[in-house]
Amino acid sequence: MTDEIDAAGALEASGLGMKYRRGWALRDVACHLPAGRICALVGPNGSGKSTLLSLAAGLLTPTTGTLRVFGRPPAAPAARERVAFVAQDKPLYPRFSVADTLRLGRELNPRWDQKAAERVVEEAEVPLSARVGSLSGGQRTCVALALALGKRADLLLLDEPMSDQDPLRRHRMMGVLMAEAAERGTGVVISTHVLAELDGVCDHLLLMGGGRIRLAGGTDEIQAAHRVITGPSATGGGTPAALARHTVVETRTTGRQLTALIRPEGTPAGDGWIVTEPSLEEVLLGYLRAPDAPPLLADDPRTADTEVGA
Amino acid sequence: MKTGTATRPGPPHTGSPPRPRHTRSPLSPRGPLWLAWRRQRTVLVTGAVLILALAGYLVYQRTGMAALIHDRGVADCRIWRECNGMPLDSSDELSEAFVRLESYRAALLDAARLLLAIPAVIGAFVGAPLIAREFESGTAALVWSQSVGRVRWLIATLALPVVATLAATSLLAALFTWWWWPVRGTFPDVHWGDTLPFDVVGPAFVSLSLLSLLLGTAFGLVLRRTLPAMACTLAVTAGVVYGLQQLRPHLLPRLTVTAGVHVHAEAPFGGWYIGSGYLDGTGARVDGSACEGLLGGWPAIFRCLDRRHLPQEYEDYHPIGHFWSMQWMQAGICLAVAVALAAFCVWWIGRRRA
Repeated sequence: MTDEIDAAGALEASGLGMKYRRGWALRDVACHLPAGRICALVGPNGSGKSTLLSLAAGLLTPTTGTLRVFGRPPAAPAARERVAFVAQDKPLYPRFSVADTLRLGRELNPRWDQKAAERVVEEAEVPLSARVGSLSGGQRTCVALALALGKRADLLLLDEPMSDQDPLRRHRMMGVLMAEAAERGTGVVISTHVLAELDGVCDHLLLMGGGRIRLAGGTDEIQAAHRVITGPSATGGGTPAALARHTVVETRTTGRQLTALIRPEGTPAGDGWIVTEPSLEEVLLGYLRAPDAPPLLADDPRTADTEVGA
Repeated sequence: MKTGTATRPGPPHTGSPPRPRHTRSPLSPRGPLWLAWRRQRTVLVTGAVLILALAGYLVYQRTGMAALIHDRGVADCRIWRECNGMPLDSSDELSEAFVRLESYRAALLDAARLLLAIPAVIGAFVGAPLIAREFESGTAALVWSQSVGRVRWLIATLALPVVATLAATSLLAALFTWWWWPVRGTFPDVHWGDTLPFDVVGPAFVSLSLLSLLLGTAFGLVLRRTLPAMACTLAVTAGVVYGLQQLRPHLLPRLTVTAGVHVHAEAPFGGWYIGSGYLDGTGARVDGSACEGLLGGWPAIFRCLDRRHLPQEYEDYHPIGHFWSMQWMQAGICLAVAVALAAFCVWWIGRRRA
C-alpha cells in the first residue's frame, strides 16, 4: 500500500488540546501510532478517549496543537477516506433498513466493499431487511461496525464498540474485526473500559487520564519496561530504599509485605525482593489506581530514545 | 462474485443467487443525493400530494369565477360601486352576479391566507429539521465520518428541498396569480400592494418560500435543535413578511393625483392607495386631519378647509403598472438574502463541529 504516506504513521499528535465550554478535555497530548497497529485506548470515564477519537475522525477541531492521520489533517478528503469512525452512541438512521444503511455506506464511500459489510451483518445474524430502529443495541452496533468495515479504511476508530454486546457476539465481532485487520493490514484504535476484551489482541496501548496520555507504546515495550517487585515493607512506612533508584508507579502494602509496580532503572534486584514481569492488565490497573504516577511515553519522539531499547 | 461466495464458509449464503443489488436506473440519485432523497422522501411526497390538492382547488375556483365574469359581462367592474356605468342595483341579474362574485372574493382571500402560511410551514417543517435533526440524533457524526465532505453533503441535502420548493411554489403562485389577475381591481378592499395578495403571487411568493426554507436550515444548523429552530424560523419569517409590507411602498417612487377638494382626488382603476391629504395655496402638503369627521358632514368639512386655505386634496398611489416591477424587486431582495444564508450555511458547516 501507500508506504511512503504510511511512514508518517496512522496517527500523529503533538501539543494536542481540546477545550469545551466546561473545560479542557485534552491537554498537551502527543502520540504516534504507526500504521497497521491494533491499539487499545484505555482510561476512566472522562479521560478524553472519545474526544481524541472524534478529533482523529475530523469531527472536532482541536483548540491547540496538531493532529495528523496518515500525514494529513483529519478533515482533508484524502484522510477522511482512509479513516472509519464508530461513535460511542453508534448513531444510525432508525427508519432505514439495514440494507439502506449499507447503501448509505456505498453511496458515500468510493472504496466501499459491499461484501465485507454484508459479512459482518450476516455474522451478527442481523437480517438485511430489518429496520435499524427495531434492532437491539448490540445488533445496531454490528450494523455500525459493518458500515465502518465496508468503508475499507486503513484506520478504524472504534469508540467502545463492544460495550453493549453479549459475550458471544463480542467474541465473534472481535474475530471478524481482527480477521479484516490482519487480512488488509488495517490499523484499529479501540477505546474500552474492559481490559480483558483486548487481551492478546492489541499490540499497542494508549492509557489516558485527566485529558493526558499516561502510557503509550507497544504492549511488549510497556510490559518490558515494568516490573512487579515484592518484599518486606519498610518499618515506619515510606518508600523502601530498594525502590529509591526506580520510578515507582504504585505501591501496596499487605501486612508486612509490600508489592510495587516499578519502572526499573538498571537491575531491580535486591536482597529479599521477588521480581516478576507484570501482565499488561497488571500494568494498566497499577496506573489506573495511581493517577499521579509519572507517565511513560514510549512512542513519543521526545522520550523514545531512552525507553524503546528496554 | 460467484467464486467469492463459494469460497466463503457458512451455509446461509452459499447457495443464494447473486442479487441484482448494483443495478439501478440511470435516474436514481447517487452519492449524497441518494441519502438526501432517502431521508426526505416522506416529507417530499406528502408535501407534493398536499400541494397538488391545493393546486386543484385553485384551478377549480378560478375556472368558476372566470365563467361567472364572462357569462355576466362583469369584467373590470368594481364591486360595491357600479358596472359599465350602471349602478349595481339597476338589475337583479347584475346584483346577483355581484353577490356570487363576493363569495369568490371570500374564497380568494381565504386561499391567499392559506398560501401565506406555506413559506413559514416550509421553513419550519422542512428547513429547520433538515440539519438540526441530524445533530439531535447524532447522525451528523455518522454522515460526516464518511468519505463525502460535509459541504458536498450540505449541498445535496439542500438541493432537494430547494428544487421542490421552487417547483411547488412556482405552481401555486402561477395558479393564484391566474385566479387573482382578472379581479385585481374589482374588490376595493383587496389592494394589490398589501401582503395579501402581493406576497402570495408571482415571484414574490416563490422567493419568500426559498428565503424561509434557508432561514430554517440556517437556524437548525446554528441552534442544532429542531424545536427552537422551528420557533425562530416562524418568528423571523413573520417578521420578514411584516418588514416587506413596510418596505414595499418605497420600492418605486409613488404617483400622485390632485384635485379640488369638492371634486375628490382618486387614484385610477387598479391603483394601490398609499396615502392622501390636503394642499395649501402654494401646493405644499398640509395636515388637514382636524377638518375630517366634523359634525355637519361635507358642508362643515368644506367650511373648515376653506378657513385653513386648503383648496386641493391629493392621493398617493402606485399604478398597477408598478406591480410586476415591485414583484421582481421584492423577489430579488428575498433571493439575495436566501443565497447569503446558503453561503453562510456552507461557511458554518466548514468550521468542523459535530
